[in-house]
Amino acid sequence: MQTDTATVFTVSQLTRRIKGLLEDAFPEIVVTGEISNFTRHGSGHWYFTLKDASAQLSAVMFRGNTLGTSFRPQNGMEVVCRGRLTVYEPRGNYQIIVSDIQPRGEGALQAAFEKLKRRLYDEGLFDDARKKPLPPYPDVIAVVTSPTGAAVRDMISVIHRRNPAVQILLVPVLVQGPGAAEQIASAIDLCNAHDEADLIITGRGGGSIEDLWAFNEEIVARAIARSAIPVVSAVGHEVDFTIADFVADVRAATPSVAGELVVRTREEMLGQLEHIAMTAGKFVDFTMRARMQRLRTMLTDRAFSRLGGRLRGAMQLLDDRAERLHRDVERAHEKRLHATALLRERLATHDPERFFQRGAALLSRDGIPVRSITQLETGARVTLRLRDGSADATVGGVSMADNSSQAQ
Amino acid sequence: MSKKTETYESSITRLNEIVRLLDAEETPLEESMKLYAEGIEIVEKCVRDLSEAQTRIKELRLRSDGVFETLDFDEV
Repeated sequence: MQTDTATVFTVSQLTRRIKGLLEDAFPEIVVTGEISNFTRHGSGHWYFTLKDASAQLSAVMFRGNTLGTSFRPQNGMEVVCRGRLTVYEPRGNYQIIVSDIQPRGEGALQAAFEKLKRRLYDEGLFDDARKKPLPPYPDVIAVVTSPTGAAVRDMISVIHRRNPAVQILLVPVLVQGPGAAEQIASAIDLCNAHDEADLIITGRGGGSIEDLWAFNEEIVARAIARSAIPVVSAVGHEVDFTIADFVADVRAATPSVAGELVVRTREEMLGQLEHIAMTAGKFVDFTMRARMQRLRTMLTDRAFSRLGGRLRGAMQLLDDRAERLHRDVERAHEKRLHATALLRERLATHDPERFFQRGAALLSRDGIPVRSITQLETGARVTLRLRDGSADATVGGVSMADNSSQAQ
Repeated sequence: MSKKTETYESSITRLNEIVRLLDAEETPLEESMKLYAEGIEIVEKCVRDLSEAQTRIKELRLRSDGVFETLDFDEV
């Protein structure tokens, strides 16, 4: 002891000594905690802090190990790390060098999922008998999802493209993280209280099992089950089902698919209207012909033919009148069919689908449509919108058409 | 379920009913003509509605005082 106190270490010597002690004491450890300050460095190394309620530990996982890890850690996740302790001398920090990282409690999540699924199944919440049919022609569709994700954009654009007459009522909610399940559930209740939507779609884009977890919560399942308005679930593009998928009246594999499932195309609806108009016309025509035929048979009937010319004349007149009426009806019918066809034709020319089909794109800058080259200069950032998406672009050069300024 | 009185769905329902009546033997001629005119009128209205409508996107919120609030959502 006496000699030890007399020894004067340099910082480096002391640090090295501590490092040696730590490395010897903890050559291989397994530690569990929550990830925070996660950084994915360009070199391929991962840096993060493991923490629990009262302590924290620096951690690094080198490229050699991160490359073989399919799991993608994120802040807030509970993980189990295997590794060894060491000291990072330049900072005097002790840290764990992680060789393997696993999400913690994945087994526990799975078990909770199976248990809830079993319980709700036993209760009959998944029964086909309690599934409501979707309205064939929804006028208003409520969309319960995040207002910022790709999912909401996909749904809106699919619905709009198929039938612009459908109105969308967006109920913005968090779709992951604390409080998400409660928000989704109360949004579904809200739609029912508001009672204007014919149909509710709730969902989000794909993600890890943790990301999708809100849709596995009982509170969401209960809200879907008690909704008087039919609910379509549209969670992720995974093959996996969520609890919400089982309870929903219809499950769509993705948000876009949900849009396609619930909205008929305008073309389809116009075709149906045309068909109805034709059928109606055909029936009227048929009835008219049948009655005329009966009238003629009566006229040529021997009993009638023996009657005087006066009656015969009256019958002739009736026949003429009926013939004229028939022609009038037919003409009116044709005129109306023609008007419908014209409307259809006009619609088709305005169909944005056709516009995009020709290879055209909508050009805008800061959300304002670009109508003239004078709105652009080299380097301007613009957005090109196509049928199925959009692209950001930078103007490489600008040239004005020769004749634009000298129009006569 | 819905507060709306006239929906596309109710129009189609009425149209199908008209077609059924037109096909029925017992419908008098005069009645047929009326039904036909009504049917064509509904078809024309539906076509008009379909062609003129533009998707409206509203955001639904419940205010703290319990009143519904719908705001324009311009994110297409």
